[in-house]
Amino acid sequence: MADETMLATSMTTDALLDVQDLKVYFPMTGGLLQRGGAVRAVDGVNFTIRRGETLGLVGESGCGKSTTGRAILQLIPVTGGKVIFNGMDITKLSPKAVRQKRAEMQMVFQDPFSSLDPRYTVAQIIGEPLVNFKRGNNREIDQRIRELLSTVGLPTNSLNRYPHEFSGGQRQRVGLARALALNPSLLIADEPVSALDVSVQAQVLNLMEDLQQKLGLAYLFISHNLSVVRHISQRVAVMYLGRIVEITASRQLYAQPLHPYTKALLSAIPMPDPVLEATRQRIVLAGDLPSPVAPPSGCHFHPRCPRAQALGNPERCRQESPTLTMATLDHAVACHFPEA
Amino acid sequence: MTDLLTVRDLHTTFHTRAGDVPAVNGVSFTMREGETLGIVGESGSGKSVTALSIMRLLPTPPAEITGQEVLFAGQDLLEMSQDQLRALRGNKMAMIFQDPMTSLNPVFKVGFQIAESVRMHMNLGPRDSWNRAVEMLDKVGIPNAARRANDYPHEFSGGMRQRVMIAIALSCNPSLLIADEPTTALDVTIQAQILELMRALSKEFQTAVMLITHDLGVIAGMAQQVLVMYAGRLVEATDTRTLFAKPAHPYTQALLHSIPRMDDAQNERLQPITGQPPDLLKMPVGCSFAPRCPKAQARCQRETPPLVEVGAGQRAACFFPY
Repeated sequence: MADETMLATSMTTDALLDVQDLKVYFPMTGGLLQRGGAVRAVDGVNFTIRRGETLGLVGESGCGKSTTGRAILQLIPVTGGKVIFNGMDITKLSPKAVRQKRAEMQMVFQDPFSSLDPRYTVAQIIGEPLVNFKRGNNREIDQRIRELLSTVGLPTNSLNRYPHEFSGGQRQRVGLARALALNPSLLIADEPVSALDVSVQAQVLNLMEDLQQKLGLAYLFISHNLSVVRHISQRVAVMYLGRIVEITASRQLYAQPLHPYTKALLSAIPMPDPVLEATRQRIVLAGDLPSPVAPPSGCHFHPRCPRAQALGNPERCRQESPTLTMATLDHAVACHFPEA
Repeated sequence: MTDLLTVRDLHTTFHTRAGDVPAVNGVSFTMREGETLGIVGESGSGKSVTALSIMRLLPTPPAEITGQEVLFAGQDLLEMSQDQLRALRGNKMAMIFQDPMTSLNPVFKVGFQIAESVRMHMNLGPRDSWNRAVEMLDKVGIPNAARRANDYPHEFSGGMRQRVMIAIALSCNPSLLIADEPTTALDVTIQAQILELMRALSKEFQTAVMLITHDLGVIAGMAQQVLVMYAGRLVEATDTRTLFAKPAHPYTQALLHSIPRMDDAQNERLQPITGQPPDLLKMPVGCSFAPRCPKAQARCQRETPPLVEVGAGQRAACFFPY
């Protein structure tokens, strides 16, 4: 990894989380076919998140964005690389020590219907981490639960109600309250608004922004929705088949994307504007997403890449995997032939 | 362009143990031949039930479909027998669904599944119907169509399966295609392919498309006319450009303001709609949007506003539009 890349992906001054060359491989053993090898779900990912910052992680299904989130929390075994949180590499810690670290980094899930235990009341759901981590006596915990409810904008009469009595948006508020219970400094939010209706989505996005302001939280915001990511993130990383192909400030990414995949992705988003839709040039990518079991050689994107086709399918794209390198200050791209 | 489909005062009620659920509540609209009509609304607004009621695909009971009339090419679908409907469905009117995995039969080759509907409706023999299936697979952009017709659904990706569904739906040259969230389960680059394909094919086959979606961006790029539904009722109906440029109903306005857009000032605060959509079992008296509406007045809590003309070609169900 070149020094300049390190600059692009880690402005180390105030880094809360520093992910270095993270790899998660799922071995393909057993089964009827007795296949060997491994699925390289996350294949050498680098980025940092500063305190109080939101990094958006976008990509299509199977690109490894959720696996990245889970690997950071050590919810799945990491194959290689480092996850440096608050100056400490947590991949080397014992399971018990990791558990303690998780108080400072929490997760919010996509589906508020399946991520809350239906047999627990809201008070039990939010209180569970407080009890597990022995944060005070019963009275103090009760006090903290009430405080959390008001933080996420739920009425106090929610305490003894069950998840099924709430709508999707309210359940996501319960999920946020639970995640905030132990005062984390980082929230990993995996598609937190994707299951919600548009009118309710905006409520939850605004709440997340308010919480960030108030509590100084950092977010890793994982989503396939590029409009939502643009709205909430200061910086954005684009993933394709286990690798980051572009990472820069959100404003920069949407105004001047450099990677052909980012360009295609942005042009594929339907815009709520019929006049614009009628005139806009779309880059429609041919073909499907390749399987992560057998990704294409060289640059994973080359079989679908309009830029490679325009250049007459250069040998280099097929042979050599491009590394993430600085194009301008704080704008890194993994492409042999980037074009502004 | 002549009228293809006329729906007048359609009501669909589900009789459940908890009570009667008015899923579709007095919906009226007209679709012209070859036109793409978008239906937008949030979950539970009644957009899918409207489509399923028109196709009469809902089990009765628990559903009960009533209405003045649902005229399709001059015939009233509400008066038809199941046999007459079966002859029509898959032939003159076809439907594609959100999840292409569950709508295809996993134990039959896709070529067979396309040929089946051709054989049923077009009176072709096994060989001709198979050839038609291959031709359709080629039309929807599946490479090596002749070979791929022998594959099973699990051998196709999500986007390719949706192409197969479109091939089945269009195989008998329907005059109406109902597409219920056809791209919601797909990735954004695959969605772009499928929307492009639907645009091209509806033009080529002169098929009218009823496109049901919650995505206002998809509507903007595909539809000529739009219906906006809220809690089982039609709240606004107009052409697409007017809907985005001059929305009349406060719900439509609020919906447009609540979505993050790629072309807005990035850090602008979103304006969410407060509260939740109403519980259809306990519908409020008066306008169903009134409890969440910033412009609601005393009258809105008492009376249900009818869908009336508020501008040229623009209808809205609101006492205080714009």
